[in-house]
Amino acid sequence: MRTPFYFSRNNAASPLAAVGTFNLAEISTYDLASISCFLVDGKSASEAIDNIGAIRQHDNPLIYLKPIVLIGNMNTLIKTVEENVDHSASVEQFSPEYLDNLSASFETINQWIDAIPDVATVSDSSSRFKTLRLMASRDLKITPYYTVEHHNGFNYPKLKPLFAKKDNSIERTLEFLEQQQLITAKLKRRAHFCPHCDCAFLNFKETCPDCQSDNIETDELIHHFKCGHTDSAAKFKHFNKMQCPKCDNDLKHIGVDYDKPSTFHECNECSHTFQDPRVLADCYNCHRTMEPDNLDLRDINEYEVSALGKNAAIFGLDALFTSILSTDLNLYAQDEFKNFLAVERSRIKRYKLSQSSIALIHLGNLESLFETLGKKAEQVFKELSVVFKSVFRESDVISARNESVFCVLMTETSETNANLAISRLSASVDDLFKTNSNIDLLISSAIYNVVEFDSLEDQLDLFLAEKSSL
Amino acid sequence: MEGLLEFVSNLTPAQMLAYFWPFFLLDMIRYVFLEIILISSYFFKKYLNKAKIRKARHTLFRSKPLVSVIVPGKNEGKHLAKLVSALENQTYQNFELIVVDDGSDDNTPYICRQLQAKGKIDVFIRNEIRGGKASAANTALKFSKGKYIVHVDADSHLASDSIETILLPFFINSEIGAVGGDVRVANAEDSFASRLQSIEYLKTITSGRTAATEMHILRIISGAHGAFRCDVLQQIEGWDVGPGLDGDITLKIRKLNYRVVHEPKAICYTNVPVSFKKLAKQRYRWDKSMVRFRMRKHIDILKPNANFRLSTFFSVAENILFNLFFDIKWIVYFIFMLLTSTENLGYILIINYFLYFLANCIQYFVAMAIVGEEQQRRDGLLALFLPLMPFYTGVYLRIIRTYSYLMELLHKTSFDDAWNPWKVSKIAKRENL
Ligand SMILES: [Zn+2]
Ligand SMILES: [Zn+2]
Ligand SMILES: [Zn+2]
Repeated sequence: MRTPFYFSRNNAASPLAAVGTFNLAEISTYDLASISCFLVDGKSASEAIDNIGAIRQHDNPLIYLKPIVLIGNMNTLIKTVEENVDHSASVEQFSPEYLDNLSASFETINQWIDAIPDVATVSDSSSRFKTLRLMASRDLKITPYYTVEHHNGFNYPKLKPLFAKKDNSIERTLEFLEQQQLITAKLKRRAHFCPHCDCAFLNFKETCPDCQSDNIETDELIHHFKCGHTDSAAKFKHFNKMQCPKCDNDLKHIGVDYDKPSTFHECNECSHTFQDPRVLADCYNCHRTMEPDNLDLRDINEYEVSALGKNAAIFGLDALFTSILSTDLNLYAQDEFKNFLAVERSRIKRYKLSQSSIALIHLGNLESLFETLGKKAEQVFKELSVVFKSVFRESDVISARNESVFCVLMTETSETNANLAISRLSASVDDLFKTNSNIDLLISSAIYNVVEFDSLEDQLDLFLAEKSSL
Repeated sequence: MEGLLEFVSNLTPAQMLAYFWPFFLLDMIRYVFLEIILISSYFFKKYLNKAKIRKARHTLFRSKPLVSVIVPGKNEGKHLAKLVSALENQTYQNFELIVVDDGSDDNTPYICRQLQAKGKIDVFIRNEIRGGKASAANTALKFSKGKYIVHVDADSHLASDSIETILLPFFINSEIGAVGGDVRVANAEDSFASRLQSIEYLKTITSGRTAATEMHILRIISGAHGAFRCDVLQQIEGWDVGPGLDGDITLKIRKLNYRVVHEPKAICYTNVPVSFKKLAKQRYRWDKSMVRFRMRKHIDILKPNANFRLSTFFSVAENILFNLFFDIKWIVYFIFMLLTSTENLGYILIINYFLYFLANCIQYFVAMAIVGEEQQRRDGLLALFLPLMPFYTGVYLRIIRTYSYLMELLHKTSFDDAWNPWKVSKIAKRENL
């Protein structure tokens, strides 16, 4: 049974008698898996923000993914701080039952955390990956929160504590994750931003196209049908009625004896007359004035973790490569692969006319590659799959055990030729990385004759064991 | 042929007059003798005023008054780039260009806004609701800041000294309220019809209006190119509704005792209809409005203290007679000849043709004297078409004119002028304008 802990960075005593204090300085003394959530004191907003930040910016998934409950007097809790955490409650509410219920309600999240491979030893330093994990652990749909407190006019409060700096890194991170198809975006609002400082607080104004003054007046033209007189509406005003200054007739019905052919503007500064005022935008932050066309028009989205993202959140970002490969190459499931293998083996055994080979390939360092390449990863992976495509033939059957282990059935190919193909693959991959970055992709491989290849699982285990012993 | 010679040699002067009275008594006197005298007077005055003209030019360029070039119109966007470059080449540059788009349904607003953004158009007003020619011109007038207003049709091409030249008369004589520019045919080479019109324009506008100016009876300033003093336009409160727009405003200015003159050296070129069918349509429209503004609206010019019904009736009758006389005289003459000298009818027609051909030649050479060397070179070969002119003016145009006069008198068809939106026409018709 997991229990809540009162979170403190300086060993302050818990205000709740039944709840123990978690002192971040002595992290090794706690069984992190047994903590159901952290209670953060909301008395002081800045203190609370610091504490929430200390939790979310930690790199241990058992810390930063933990549910956070803000406690305090309900009337004094700051809304913006409340938005940052999973739950909030007032101190008086806390009874033993309430604590149990709280722990129970967070069980799904904690179980999700438990499912992370090697959760006790990993540390996540990439804020992108942390963002993905935080969203996936709660199946969180993050929606923009519109506010004047942030100069771009909105933020994503649940993600905010993950980032130490108050810049646009949340947006950039979400953009990146979306590009990798790990999260999906849904447009909520399209907004203009200052291209210089990203500020959303802009004043749009109509100005004189000649001198850019916004001291302009608007007037209407009136056309009197009977005498053809056309002038500004003010000239037709005559006490309480409308009268034509040229022919002195009364104007009674619009469309019958007069109409308003157009409106126009006149500049009070330079007396220029025009119909299309020039629209300009003033930035409240950097005080620049700009053409609307030069403003940044961006989508403000709501995000959800995709199926691909859920998988990647548990197993790591390198799973991405598999997804790219499976769309570019025709990747078969392991079971299908086994069927192909069985058929091919009996065919070769029966006719004894030709040879077929099996290649097992391991890509060593996909994850670090992904982290290094960042935004470019997708493009590099795409090129990598092109290399795969060029080396193997249509008749070859490819399957992936996981994101970095591949099995290829190379039909009508001798072991010698298969070796040639694999070395061609290594050479091309080397070329690719030489031109793209200064890191390498480590490839190890083994070639077998189909006839001598018994069980796929056994051979794979053997191959991976041999590889790691090297 | 021999018969013809014999017929001619046997004619006594009295017989000559009896057979060809319309030519000798009317056309020769009016269009040949009088015109020669008036044009001579024009040249003589011009010679005398040489110093005055030089001084006027000096004053113009020293005082440099702002001129508002106004271009009202519908669907004229395609012509504007050319017009703008013609304006850029003007010798007189202190002008503002005001374009009023009267409810175009093509890409005119787009073209105008582009030109405005480039600073080529100073004021552009787009009227979403079409108001007609008068309203568009009045809109332009409202936004004009110039001391002089030059009204230009978007599709006419101005000669490079055209604005300078059209302004000079204002500086020679302060009684002048409006100056008409000379309109010449730009596309004379296009067709048979346009060549004949080119000769016609030289006769009726270049020399005809110059002569009218000398007699102080100029009645029309073409919309294609006319200059007005802004204060005078304001006094008459701009253009009135109706088809006879160009003549209409001229008469209103004359009523205020300002002089209206034609300046044959302020040249603009215009494209004329290239087929006889299109030409017929154009002239039908023009002729109808001619009748209308002379006989209906400005009846007070001819009969200043027009009284109630009876006098109105008489003046209308008198005007119909006066105006139609020149146009119906040829019918009367033809019928008369048919009845009195049937056996010589062929000869009479041939001799008539020959007389009118001669008159056309003289008029053509008079016009050529006015236009100057450059135009003479350009239009010199037009002389080859002179033999056709008696048929063109005497038969073709006359039939159209008679027909349209009759139509206008019988029905007030010109209120349905395609140029005016129906709402405006409806009001004009009801108010009997
Ligand atoms: Zn009126
Ligand atoms: Zn201005
Ligand atoms: Zn800014």
